Order: sequence, then C-alpha cells, then structure tokens
Amino acid sequence: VNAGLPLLERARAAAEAVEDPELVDVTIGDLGLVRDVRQEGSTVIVELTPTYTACPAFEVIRDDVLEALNVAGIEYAAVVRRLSPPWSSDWVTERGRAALQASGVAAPRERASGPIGVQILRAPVYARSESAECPVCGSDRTEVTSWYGSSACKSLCHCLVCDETFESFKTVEESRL
Amino acid sequence: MPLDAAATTYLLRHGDDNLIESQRLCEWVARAPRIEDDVALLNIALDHLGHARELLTAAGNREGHGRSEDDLAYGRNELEFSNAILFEIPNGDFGQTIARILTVAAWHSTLYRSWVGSDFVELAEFGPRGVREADYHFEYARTWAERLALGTDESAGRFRAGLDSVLPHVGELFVDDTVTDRLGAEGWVTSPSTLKDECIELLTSCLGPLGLSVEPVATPVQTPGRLGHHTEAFSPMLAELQYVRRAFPGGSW
Repeated sequence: VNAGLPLLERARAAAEAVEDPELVDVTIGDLGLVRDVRQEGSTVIVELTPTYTACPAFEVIRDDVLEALNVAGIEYAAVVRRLSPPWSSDWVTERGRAALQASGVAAPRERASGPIGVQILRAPVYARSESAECPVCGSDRTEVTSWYGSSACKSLCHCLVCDETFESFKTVEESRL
Repeated sequence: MPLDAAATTYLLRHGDDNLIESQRLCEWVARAPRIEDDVALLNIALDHLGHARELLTAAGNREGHGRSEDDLAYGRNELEFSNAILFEIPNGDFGQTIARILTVAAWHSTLYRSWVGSDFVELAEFGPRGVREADYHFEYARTWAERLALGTDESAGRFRAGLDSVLPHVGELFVDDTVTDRLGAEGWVTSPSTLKDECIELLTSCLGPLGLSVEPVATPVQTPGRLGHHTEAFSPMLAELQYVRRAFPGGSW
C-alpha cells in the first residue's frame, strides 16, 4: 500500500484511513483523531486523541491502527494516547462532515461561537433548538431532544420539518484553557 | 512525605471518587424516569469511569509497583479506597441523584480547572478535557434542577430534600491534609480549601435563582472517606463492583 511514499507519510495515510468502529464510512482521519506521526529509533509512533476521555471505542481504534500499520509494512509501531490539547469538533475535516451527514449523523456545527458547556446549554434543554442540519431532509429547523445519545460524542435531535429523529455529533469548540 | 507518594495518593483519591460515582450512577440503569435520562445518567457514569481509568492508571504508574487500573479498581478492599463520602452515599430518589450530579460536577469543574497547566503532568494532561466534560454534566443537572425546583410542590420538596442529604458531605472535599500540603508546597496542586469559594459560587449560580441556598458549608475536621473509613452503604456497593473479578480471578474473555 502506497509503497513508494516515505515511511511517515505511509504510516499517516494508513492510520488516518482506519474507520471509526461506531460510525459508517467515517475514518479517524476524518474525525481529526490522529494528532502526530513520528519516528523514534526504528519505531513509528502514532499519537491519537479520543473525542471523549471515556470513549469505549478507543482500544478498538488503537488495535485497528496497529493492524493497519502492519499491513502497510511498518514493522515497529506504537500508539500513544494523548488527552491534551483536548479533541475539538473543529478538527473534523470537510470530508468528515460530509461523510457524517451522508451516514445519517448530523455533523457538528462549524467553528462554534462559544464553549458548548457555557453558551449553548443555558436554555431549558428540551425547548432549545440547535442548528444541526437534518441529515434526512437538510432542514435547519431541528431541536435537541436529548443531550446524550448512543455514544458520548453524540446527542439526539428531532427535525421539525420532516419529523425524523436523528443523532448529531456534539459540537466541541477548541479549548481555551 | 515523599513527593511521589503524595502524588500517587492524590491520583488514587480522585480516581476512586470517579469510580464510585460511576458505580452509583450505574445503579440507575433501566430505572430512570424516561429513557432519555436513563441514557444520560449512564453516559455520565461512563464519563466518570473513563476519568477513573485515566487517574487510576496514572496512580499505578506513579506508584511503580506494576498495579494496573483493574488491580486498583477490583483488587483493593474497603479500607484501601480513598473516595470522599459524597460519592458513595446511596442514590435516593431522582431528585437526590440530580442534586449529587450537580454538586459533583461543580466540584470537578472547579478542581479540574485548577489542574490546567500544573507541573504535575498527569493533571495537566487531564485538566482541560475534564473541565469540559464536568461542565456538560453540570448543565444537564441544572436543567433538571430548574424543572424540579420550579415544578410541583412534590418535585420541589424532593429536590430540596435531596440537597439536604448531599450538601453535608461536600465539606470533606475542601479539607487540606499532608498530601495536598506536600503537593501544594511543590506548586503542583491548589489547596482544596482555596477551591471552596469557587465551587460554592458555581453551585450557587444554579441554586440561587431557584431560591435555594448552599451556605453554610462547614469544613469538617476529619476526612473519613480519604482515610478509608466508609459508610455502611459502601461495602455492598463495592461487593457488586468487584464481584466478577473476585469470583473468576484472572478470568478473561
């Protein structure tokens, strides 16, 4: 795979192509989880940042990355987990946003205007609408019905136009701390 | 006290707090008032479990005796757990559980904020992400606090009673001792006593407008939980948490 590329480019391409185990056709490169790829001696180190500290998919992703690196012909590899700086939904790529939307999960809002924990969550939650784009009909007239969905990184929304219920990738702005 | 010993103890305390809070919230599975809140309570439990894993792993590494997160979570007895009493008190009803989530989140938001940029590298790594997740719990609990406190006489009464059960245990979090003094002298952590005002202020920002008071929070002279002296409710909970590992030592699947 990509045999002509230099080692680290090959490693990055292999790592970023690993699919997120809880999403459809969305890679960890799309989500911005791969923070660094470097070489220490003969070992390739891949730094990954989980979306949420408790993400239960992290171990699976780590093993999948090691497997992918192996398939790419990289003999010695290690995955390092990095929590800081914390993951932000601003790190999701354009391709990632489109892939999320296509798989039925609303993409996070682009470049949020304030920290999610402080600004958007002040109003009573069930009355609050959020500008998630309905992945079924494309409308912006949607509301959050539950802050928590099937995984830590998603909330549950409802479209006021087509009446569909869908999941939305939470918007997490880059940390200012 | 050697610095590494103090650092290990500090990480264990906060790992234990999160582990026990997670286990208590897990008791809500399939029992919450609505499925959305069932999912919410368990998501919050999962966050706490993730935080516990991070902190217990770090404690094991600092200790240097090769103890893993699992060894620490499943292999210790009651007296070796250093969680504050606040985290182990029984859930009570939904109102009391929301009161505890709100209180715990206010504390964690304040605490983790103080970890940002610390020379204690494990805390600095954890801090910014921890603050964000604690804030999300706080805002979730706030929406319920508002609905309960401004709802019916029944809901308001239950939430108030829940706060009355929870708040007397908050003081333990603000007690300085040899561990925090040692780390404080090194500039690694902020003394718990100096985090008190900020934490109470955050809680009051939610409860004040609802006509509920937090003050006065007395700082106790003792820290039973930190010393391993737990309440009667602790052992049955720990037995459930550790059952599988003790019944099938070394088992894997």
